[in-house]
Amino acid sequence: MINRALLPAGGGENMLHCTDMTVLERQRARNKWQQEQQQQFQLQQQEISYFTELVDVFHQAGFHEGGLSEVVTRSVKPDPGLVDNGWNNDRVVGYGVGLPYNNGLGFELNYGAISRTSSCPPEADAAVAAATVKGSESVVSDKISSGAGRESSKKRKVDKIQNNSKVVAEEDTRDKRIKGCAEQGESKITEKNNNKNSRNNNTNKNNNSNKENSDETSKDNSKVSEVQKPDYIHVRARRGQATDSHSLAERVRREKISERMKYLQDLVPGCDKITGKAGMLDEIINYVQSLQRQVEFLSMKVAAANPRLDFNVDNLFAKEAFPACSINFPTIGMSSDMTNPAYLQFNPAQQQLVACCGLDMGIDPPDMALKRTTSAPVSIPETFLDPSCFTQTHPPPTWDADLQNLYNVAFDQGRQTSFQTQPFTGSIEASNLKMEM
Amino acid sequence: MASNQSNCDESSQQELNQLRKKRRKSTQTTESHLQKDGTGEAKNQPTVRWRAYTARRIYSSKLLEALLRSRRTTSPRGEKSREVRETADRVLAVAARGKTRWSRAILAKRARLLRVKKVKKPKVGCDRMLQESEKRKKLPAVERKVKVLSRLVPGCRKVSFLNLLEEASDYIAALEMQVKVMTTLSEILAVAGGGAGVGGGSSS
Repeated sequence: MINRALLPAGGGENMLHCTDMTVLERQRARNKWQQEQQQQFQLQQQEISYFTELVDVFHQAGFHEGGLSEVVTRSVKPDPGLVDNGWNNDRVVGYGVGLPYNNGLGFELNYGAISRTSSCPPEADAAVAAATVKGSESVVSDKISSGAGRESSKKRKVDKIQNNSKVVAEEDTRDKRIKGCAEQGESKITEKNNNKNSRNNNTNKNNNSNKENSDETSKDNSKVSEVQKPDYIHVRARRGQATDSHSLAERVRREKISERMKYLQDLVPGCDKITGKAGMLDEIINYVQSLQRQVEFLSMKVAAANPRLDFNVDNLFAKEAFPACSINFPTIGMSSDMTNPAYLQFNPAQQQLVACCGLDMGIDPPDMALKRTTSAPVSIPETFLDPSCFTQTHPPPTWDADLQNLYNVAFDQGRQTSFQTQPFTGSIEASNLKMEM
Repeated sequence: MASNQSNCDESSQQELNQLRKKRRKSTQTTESHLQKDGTGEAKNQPTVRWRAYTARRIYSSKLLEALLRSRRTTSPRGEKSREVRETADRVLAVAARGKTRWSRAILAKRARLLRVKKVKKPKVGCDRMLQESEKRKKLPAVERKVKVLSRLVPGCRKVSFLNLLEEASDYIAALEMQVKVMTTLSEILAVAGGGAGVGGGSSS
C-alpha cells in the first residue's frame, strides 16, 4: 500500500502521459525546484507519515486511483508557472489517495499545502499552505466553468492552457463528484485557512473566500514565479468574478496598491482608522510635509549652532587640546546613537553637563516641542530625559578637563571605533574608560 | 579600573541590548508582516533599512563629516540653513545607496546644478492654463492628491501610482531617521555651544 502511494516516479509518469506539454514544463520546473529541495527535506519526512495514513484511507474507499490522481495532478498543477509542477509528481499519488474522503481530503489538501510550501520560498508558506487547500478546489470548480476558466488562463503560458483544456474535457464528470467531496472537506479547513489568508488578502468577504485565497496565494506564487520567469504574470480568476484579462490585471494592480497602502498605514502614525485611498493619501501628504518642515527647522538650528562647530574644529586640528568641548558632543552624541541626552549620564562631569543641558533646555522651548513631536510619530529612544530632571547647579568650571579625555580619545581614534566601543547608553564612566583604551 | 570597566561594560551592554530589543520589536512586527512578500524582501523593506541602528550611525557620522567639510569650504552668508538642509538631504540620499528613485533624484539635482546653471523658463501659455482650470472640473480627488504627493517626494513626478507609494514609504522612513539624527545633532551643538561659551570664558 505504501509503495503504491509513495511511487513518485511511476505514478507521476503515468499521469504525465495524457499531457505531454506538462512534461517539459515540469522538467524545467523540477530542475529549478531541485535547487530548493534542501529546505524541504524535513517537511517531506512529515508528509511521508501523512501519506501513509492517506493510503489506508484510500484503500478503504476503493476509488479510482488513476483518475483521482490525475484530477489531483491537475488541481495541483494550476498554481501557475510554479516550480511545483515538477515537484508535484512526487506527491500526486498521495493526493489521489486522500481525495475521496472528506476528512481525508482535508488532510490531503493540507498536506498538499504543506508540501507545496516546502517548494515555495519560505515567505509564502502560510499563504501557500492555505492556498493550496483552496487551490485544488478552485481548479476543480474552474474546470466546471470551463469557458470562463479558459479565458482566465489567457495570461498563462500557451502550454498550460492546452493542458488545462485537455484535462477539462476528460475530467468533467469526475470533477463534479470530487468537487462535492472537496467542498465538504474544505469547509472544515476554510476557517483556519481564512485566518491565514486574511493577512494576505484585503478582501475576504465573499462566501467563496476559498477562491479568493487561492487566487491571492496563486498571485503570491505568481510573484515567486515572476522572479524566476519574468515573462508572464500568472493570475487566476476568482469564482464569480469577471475573468477577462483586463479585469484580472486590474485586480492584480489594485491588490498591489492596497498592499502598499497598508504598509504606509503602518508607517504613518494615526492612520489606523482611516480607510480609503483619499484619506490615506491626505495623511501621507501631511506627514511627509511635516517631516520635511521638521528637517528644515532642524537644519536652521544646526546652521545657527554651526559656527561654533567650525571654530572648534579648527582648534582641534590645530592644537589637539581644545578649550571648548563642543566637538565632544557630536562624537559622543553620535556614538550614543541619538539618545538625546546620552551625555547627560556622564559621571564626574555629570552635574555640570546636566546644568548646561538644563540651561539649554530651559532656553529652548521649541526644542522640547520638537522633541515631543518627533517622539510622537517616531519611536525615539526611550532614554529621553525630561527637562525637569535637569537641575541647574553651578556652571561647569572643570567641564573641559573632564571631557577632554573623551574628546581626544574619541576623535583621534576615529568615530567608528568610538561608536563601537561606546555603550549606547550608560554612564560616561564606562565610555570614558572605553575610549581611553 | 579593569574591573570597573567590565562592570560598566556589562551594564551598558545590557542597556544597549534592551534598547536594541525595543527597537527590534517595532521592526519585527513590520518584518513579519512583510516576510510573506518574497525571499529577502523583508530585508529590503524601508522600515528595516531605515530604522536599523546601523543606519542611524552611518548617517550621523556621514552627516557630521559633510557638515564639517561644508563649513570649512564654503560659508554662504545668507542661507546657511538651506545649505545645511541640502547637505543633510544629500547625505541621506547617499545613505540610501541609490536603490530608490528619490535618492537618485536628490543626488542628480546637485550634479545637474554643478554642471549647468538652472535656467528657469517661464511657463508658456500660463494664462490659458488658468482659464482652463477654472472651467475644467476638478480632477478626481485621489488623483489630485497623488499629484501633490508626487511633488513632495523628490524625483517622482512621472512615476506610476504603485511605484510612487513605494518610493513614498521609503522616503518617509528615511525622513524619520533624518529627523531623529538632526534633532540629536542640533541639541548637542546647542549644548556644546552653550558649553563652549561658558568654557571659553572660564578657561581664558
